[in-house]
Amino acid sequence: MSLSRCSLYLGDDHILGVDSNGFSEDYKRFYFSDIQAIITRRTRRGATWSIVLALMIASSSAGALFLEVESVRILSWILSGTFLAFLLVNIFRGPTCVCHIMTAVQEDELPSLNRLRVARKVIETLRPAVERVQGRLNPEEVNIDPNEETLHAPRTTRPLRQPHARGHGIRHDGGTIHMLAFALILLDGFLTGIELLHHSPVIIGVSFGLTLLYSICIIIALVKQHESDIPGTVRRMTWASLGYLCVSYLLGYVLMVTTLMTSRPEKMVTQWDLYRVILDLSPQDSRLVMGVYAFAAVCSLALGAVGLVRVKKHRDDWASASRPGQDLEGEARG
Amino acid sequence: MEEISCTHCHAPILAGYYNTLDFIPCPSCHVPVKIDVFPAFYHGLRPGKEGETLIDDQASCFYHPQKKAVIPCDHCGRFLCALCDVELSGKHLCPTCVEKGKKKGRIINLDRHRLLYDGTALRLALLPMITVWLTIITAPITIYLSIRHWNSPMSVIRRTKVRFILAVVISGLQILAWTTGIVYFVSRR
Repeated sequence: MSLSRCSLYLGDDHILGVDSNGFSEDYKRFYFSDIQAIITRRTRRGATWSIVLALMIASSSAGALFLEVESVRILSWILSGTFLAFLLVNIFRGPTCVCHIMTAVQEDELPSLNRLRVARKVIETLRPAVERVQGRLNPEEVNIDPNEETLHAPRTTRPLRQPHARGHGIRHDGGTIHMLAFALILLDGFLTGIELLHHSPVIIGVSFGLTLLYSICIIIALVKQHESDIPGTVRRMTWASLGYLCVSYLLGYVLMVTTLMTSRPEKMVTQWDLYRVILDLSPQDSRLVMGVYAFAAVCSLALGAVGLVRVKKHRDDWASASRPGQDLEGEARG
Repeated sequence: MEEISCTHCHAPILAGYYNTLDFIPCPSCHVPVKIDVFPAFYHGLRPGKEGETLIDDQASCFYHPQKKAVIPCDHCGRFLCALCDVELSGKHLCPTCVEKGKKKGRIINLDRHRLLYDGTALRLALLPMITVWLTIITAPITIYLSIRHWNSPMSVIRRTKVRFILAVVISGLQILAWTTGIVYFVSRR
């Protein structure tokens, strides 16, 4: 993450990309006659930020509602307000994207065009300027049927272009580890739900173990889904699970600290005493514990169920796509 | 056949996906992409210019005596062949003038990096105020930096000298405050 600010300026015969850190500026010029294409890709960054900020608002609001110390409650309200302001700004700025500009010899990212609305506006401004220099595209070059193989083969310029060292394709992943992770999350959700109704240290212990297991599974799943054919929904569910995991760890830590602060220190002699205090923590003891458990149960059940359904759909799609070929092979053998 | 690649999965995208009105999913990773293609993509790289060979008593290029001169350098006036003619922002320059212009920072379109002395001076005036005592060292340095680089090339984007002025004023006030404090302390003793 750099602290520099990127901006884009329109010149007479080029666009100027300025990367400034306050002490110096770096410039990149893209002449209208050289621009071959602008590639805009929608991203989920804005939506992810909205989810993260909403979770922050929820947790700080929960703190403001359930905590009993007045100063902490005021601080929680201030935090909620700040996060809400950030959330509103994020929503107002609209969906996010990544823009790349392509010339015969390079493909560069335009970091300043990170919001769809701005990117569209810039491309619309840029198009007449580029067309003034390069002329307009022939009608047959525009909007060809996507299912049709192109007849307009461009001259090969790829070997000259810089940032594409990775030319490998997408590999198939059946999503077994995703399935395991979502199944464990679902099971943890059930156990937390039972814990809400009936307190048992054994259930909490098992739940801790499950959390540890699915944490590992989520990390492996995130690694495995990179450059695989795992659908976008499953990918997002996995990332959402990681987000939930971070929030639940944070909430667990807050819960542990508040419990240890309120319990009598003379009772805790060994490390085991400390664990026992946490295991004895019942949702019926306080509204804060009840709120955290309810949040964990709802999130786990929702993430686990939706995730499992989506992975199963992906597996079914893959099986049905590969079956006709197998059938034909069978028929040929017969 | 080479095509444009998806910026997410790097899989090639066929020409049928170019210049669509809205986003369409990448055929490989299904991420929504929109590709705006311009005629230069179909034309490829432009071929370089070649100098014509000199015939009889035609004027020759200063750098290539066997090549025919086609244009004079807009800066030094030397005759140039098509090979030596460098066109920059509507001006025709010889390679030597381009090199000199780049070294002296006269050709703005060749600059790839610039130091922002005005921004640096302003930060040097403002940031040490957090510690207060550091300003006794930084205030004179800020004034020196502002005067020394008053005429140095600034950002290529139009900027005023307001940062320099602010830096000098703030540093001047800091020096004044320190002087007053020292005089007051000495006179009290």
